[in-house]
Amino acid sequence: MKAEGTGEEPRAAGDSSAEHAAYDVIIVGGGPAGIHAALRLTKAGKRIAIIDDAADLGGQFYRRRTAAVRKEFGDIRSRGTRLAAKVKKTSAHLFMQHTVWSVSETGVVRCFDQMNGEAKVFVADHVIVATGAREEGTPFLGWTSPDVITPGHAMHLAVIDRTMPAARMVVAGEGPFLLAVAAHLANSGVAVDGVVFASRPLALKSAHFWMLRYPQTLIQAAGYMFSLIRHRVPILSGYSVDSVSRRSGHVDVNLRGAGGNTRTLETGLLAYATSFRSNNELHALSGAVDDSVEGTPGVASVKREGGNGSATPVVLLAGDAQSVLGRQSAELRGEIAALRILAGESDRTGVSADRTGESPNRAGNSVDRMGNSPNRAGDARRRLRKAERKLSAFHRYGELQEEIFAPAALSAAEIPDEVIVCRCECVSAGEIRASARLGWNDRNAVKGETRAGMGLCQGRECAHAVTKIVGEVTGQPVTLQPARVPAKPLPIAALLKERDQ
Amino acid sequence: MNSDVTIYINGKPTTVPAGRSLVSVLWSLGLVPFRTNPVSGEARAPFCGMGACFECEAEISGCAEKRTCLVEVQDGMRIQVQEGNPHEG
Repeated sequence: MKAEGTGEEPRAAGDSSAEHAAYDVIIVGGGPAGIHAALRLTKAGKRIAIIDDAADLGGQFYRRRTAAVRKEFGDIRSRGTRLAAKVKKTSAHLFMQHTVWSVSETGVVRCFDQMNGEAKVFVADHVIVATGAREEGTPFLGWTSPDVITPGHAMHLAVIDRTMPAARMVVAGEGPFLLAVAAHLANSGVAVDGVVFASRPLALKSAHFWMLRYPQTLIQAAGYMFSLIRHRVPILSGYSVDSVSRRSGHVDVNLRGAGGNTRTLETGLLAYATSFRSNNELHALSGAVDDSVEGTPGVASVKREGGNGSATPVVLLAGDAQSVLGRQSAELRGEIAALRILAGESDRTGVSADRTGESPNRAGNSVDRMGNSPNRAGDARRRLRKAERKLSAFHRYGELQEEIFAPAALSAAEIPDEVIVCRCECVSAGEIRASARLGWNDRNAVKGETRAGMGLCQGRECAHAVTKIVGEVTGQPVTLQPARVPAKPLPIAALLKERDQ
Repeated sequence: MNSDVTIYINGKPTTVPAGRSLVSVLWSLGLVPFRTNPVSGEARAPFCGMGACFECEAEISGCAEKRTCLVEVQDGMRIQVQEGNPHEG
């Protein structure tokens, strides 16, 4: 029930197309974290909605093969299929292909239907932002050409859609994800001309032995290595991508080694990324403290914390949207976000379930203002403590990955002036440097002057690089591009329609 | 034989396998790159595959700037890719 107003807000009764529906919890993002939050909340009888801009549940890790593809090729990651089916059997309302562009600190969620631009506004006592992460790549000469895509895109094409974007590919950049992608591509019939790491992840150090604590990961990594060996895929370490160019019908991937030596791989298409970045824009927009930090290439920085670290109790982050630790941790953190709500720790009035605020309902059972019974809240608190203890194991996991995939810090100074940094607005590194060198431009003024970060992707692809370049010119520490409403581009018609309500 | 669907690309009908993302169909038809960047005019290919970069955009059923990586092909779907794009030149 909403705490504001004189009484209980009337609920949109079971009408999933209602434009102002009210829920106990809205979950933005139907991936591993969102799914687990949904299952925990619906089990506790909460009325929830899940909003996602993809066509089906699963997010990126559990992106589904459609029925037609499964019929021909079978399923992959069937755990995702089972989880999605489980959610669809609950009372959760699903809004697929809806894009959320604003989340307020009071739990108002604004989105629009992608297919027809129809605006929808929802309200909830709590909003869980489980929007996952995106790939990031340090720009190089030619990275905007049609000869470069992301490893995630390459993997989705080969594994989910069973489509080969090219007969031959190179996978390069940084991070353990490259191994997985290269293995999947090779097993899908793509000729992988090389996997290239900027660091030396195979040079054994103590971190590798500590990874024995995560046998699932090691088994997976061994499986990927086996696939690469079987397909005779060369693995190169200590090389960054210098440039990509086209030459008589094939693509040259020009590499530069740590010692300055160069190598060129001939291929058909390059899949490139150097790290992941949390999609935490909606959480930041809600007024919560934006405590994003620069990610180490390979793995985003891990924050040691017991809970979900959100500044306001109404909007919580869960999963890779908090920090990039992978699927297992995301599922656990989705569960934790749900348990925090159930345990009453996030009660907006600050009253916890076992203090004043209890009043007997008709059946004579005590409930607090949230509709939680103290027994249920206590049970949730016990589960929450247990889950948070389990979560602490994953912080070490993130740190170990950073030790293994840790190149020398990629300097923005190595990005030549002529490299296009902002893909959408075609702003070069040279233009960004010139703007920063004027002396009176801070990072945001550079953005305003050059338009770097003001295109359709809203800085998702370039802001990290712009930040680095500006930081190196000014010598001042710079934060990432702050989030702005709308978090995603939306049609004007959606805004006008909302005004008419 | 799995079911096929017919989609229209710039008015031209094409039969494609059902259940694929529209962007994967455009890749498999050899139509990538199918747009140019509006600022520089340079050819661009779909990049992130997950709805963040907008490099895969095309007009679908009369709505512009739709991300083809988030949409499954449907029978009768009408897609308009950029006129004068590199493949038509």
